[in-house]
Amino acid sequence: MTDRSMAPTLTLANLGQRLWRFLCSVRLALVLILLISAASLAGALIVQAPGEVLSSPLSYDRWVEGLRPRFGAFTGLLDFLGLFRVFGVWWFNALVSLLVLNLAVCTINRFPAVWRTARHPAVKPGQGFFERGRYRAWFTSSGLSQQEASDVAVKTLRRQHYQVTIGSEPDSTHIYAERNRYTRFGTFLTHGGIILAIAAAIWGNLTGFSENALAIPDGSVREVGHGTELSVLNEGFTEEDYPDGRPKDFRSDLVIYEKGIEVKRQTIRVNQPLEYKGVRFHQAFFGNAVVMRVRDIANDRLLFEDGVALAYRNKTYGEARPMGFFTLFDGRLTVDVVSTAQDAADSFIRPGEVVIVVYRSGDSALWVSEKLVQREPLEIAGLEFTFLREKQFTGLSVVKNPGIKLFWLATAFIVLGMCTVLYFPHRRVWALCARSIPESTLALAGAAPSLSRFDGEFQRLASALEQDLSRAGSSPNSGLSSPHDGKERRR
Amino acid sequence: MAKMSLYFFSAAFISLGAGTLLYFWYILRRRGRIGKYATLVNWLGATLLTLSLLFRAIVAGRGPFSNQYEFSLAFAWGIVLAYIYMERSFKFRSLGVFVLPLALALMGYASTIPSNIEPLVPALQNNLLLTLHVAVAVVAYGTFAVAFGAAVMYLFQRQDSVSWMPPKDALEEVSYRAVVIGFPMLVLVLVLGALWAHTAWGRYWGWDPKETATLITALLYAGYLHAHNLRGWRGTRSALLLLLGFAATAFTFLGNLFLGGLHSYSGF
Repeated sequence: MTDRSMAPTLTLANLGQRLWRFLCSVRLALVLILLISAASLAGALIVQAPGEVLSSPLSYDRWVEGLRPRFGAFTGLLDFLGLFRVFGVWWFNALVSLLVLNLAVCTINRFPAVWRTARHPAVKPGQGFFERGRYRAWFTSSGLSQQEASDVAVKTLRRQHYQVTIGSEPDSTHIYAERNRYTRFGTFLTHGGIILAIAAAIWGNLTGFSENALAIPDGSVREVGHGTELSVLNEGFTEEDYPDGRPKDFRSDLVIYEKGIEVKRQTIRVNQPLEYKGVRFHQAFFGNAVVMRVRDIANDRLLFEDGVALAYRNKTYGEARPMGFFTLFDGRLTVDVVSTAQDAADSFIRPGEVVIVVYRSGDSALWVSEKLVQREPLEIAGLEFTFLREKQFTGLSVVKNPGIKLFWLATAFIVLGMCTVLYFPHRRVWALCARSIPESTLALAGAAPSLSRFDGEFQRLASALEQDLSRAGSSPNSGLSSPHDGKERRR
Repeated sequence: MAKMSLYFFSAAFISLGAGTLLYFWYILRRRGRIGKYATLVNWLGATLLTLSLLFRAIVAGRGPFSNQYEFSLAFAWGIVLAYIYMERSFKFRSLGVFVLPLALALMGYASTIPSNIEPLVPALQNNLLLTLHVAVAVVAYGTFAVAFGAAVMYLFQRQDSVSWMPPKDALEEVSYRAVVIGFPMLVLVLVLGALWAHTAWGRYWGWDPKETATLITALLYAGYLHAHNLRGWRGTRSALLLLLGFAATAFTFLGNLFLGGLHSYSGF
């Protein structure tokens, strides 16, 4: 017989409550952790699309097509599930966001109770606590009065570095002892730190920039762009090797200009980047460059003379051939420069030669291609092209992350919080001296967060107390019940 | 001095091997004296291994943590160290039978790969971070190995308890304590790694295979710590989580050998 009026109504408040409870649960965190782990494993095992490929849908689709020989019939499925770009796909972000929300809600939910326990601990627990708790011990010492027994207990506890508070009543004395009262808050520091770290990471991504492939030939200047007014001069890149050929040192002598004025100079190495106003210059890669000159023959005008970093590869010209490019006439004309193949015999382009491909920018339908021999100028449509000489270029990674300091602070919180709560666990001990307790004068009980192991410590405390009581009293008759005595275990 | 390192390595291998055999014998005979000898020989092995690493560090002028040979040695060292600490805390000698063979296997593996002391490539030329980052990692891995051993012993006793093994709830405590010690260290490894990557490569996180594998390992152990309080997750499920966590640890350790990525410093 159902009473309609008792049926639960799906009110907004109800829904909100259920949502809150759902978000509060540790079970949810566990499920999310397992899902994110599985997804990350997929991301580690399955080849992921590199950044440049992700920049446009066209390049991404072409890249995926290139994987068909490897994955066959599964290519489409893997792509649909987003497994070629796991760490940015919508459902991965959703899982992480949900975990962050879960963390936040759990933290907000649990904080008040922990705060209350810290500020207003239960100094006088009921007697049942001493009879059924997981950590308990009872002592009888017939030669001591209630006052003397409690004095001994206080001394013992203080010697074990507990902070003790005493409450005296005519019939009983309650003792409350505590250690590391505030270390439980380490949990909140850690979880807050995780949320802060993710926030700092997102903020840094949104407000900063990352230029991964700034290639600067020796002696050339390149602009940093991205809203900075900085440009970089590469005064020289040096590679040093060990006798066995393994690389020993990569370094670049850099000069930084702001609005054309020199502001900083430094030799950078892989582990010694240059930093100026939050922008960092990292030694990332290097390679060969060619110095090209272009002259407008009719007007006898120099249009271009600079190093061109051969920092790219293009399948059209052959994967093994490094290439670079530069532009003329305000970017309207592009000149690709292709050099001889690396680590392979090149029958078409020999050392000391380059091939240039000249075309209208963005429209590679119409192009002119010619081979240039070093120092021999060649005329193409009224322009004189010369391949002057070879050089090196240094490849820099230029990064700005306004959120970085906040990020490190957050990671410090995370680690500090963990070490605090796990390595300095909270300890609480209660002692009760009362004539009302059958056959004993002192009852001891302890509590510790389940994240810590209190057994050994509690045993040692109980033994110390037993010793001290027997020393103080005349004929001790202490009954020590072990912490694992009780059938009831606190879960 | 480089030869000294190799001599100490051999001596450590023999000593730790003898110690493991003594632990096996202790299980068979259950005599306290055999157990004590096992512990002593194990301590000796640990000292010899430490000396081997130390001599290597002196010769190389940097922490002994820069190629697969050194990583393997260091991981074995971390396991032995973690085991010694847990044996002192809990006095469960039978645990040695399940944990120390892992260290021996690592040392055996190390003996098959090139061990030349080579100078560092530019990316690794950051002595402080190299030493801290890897040393903390191998100690954390060591605690996870102990937790793994205890979990295996727990699972053996799922139906009936085994007489020479510690009781199930004691084994749970061993695992838990080991992870409580090791987990913050693993998180510190991630943070130090991020700091180093930020200095060297300009980005503190890039989903490099080893970075990702370490994150997965950390997530799994975080899950384990949180599962401790969940009804139905204590006991067998937690033990399985520990097996999974150690599999992740092993994957993190070996992963870059076949996954490539920025962390490939195998020295091959």
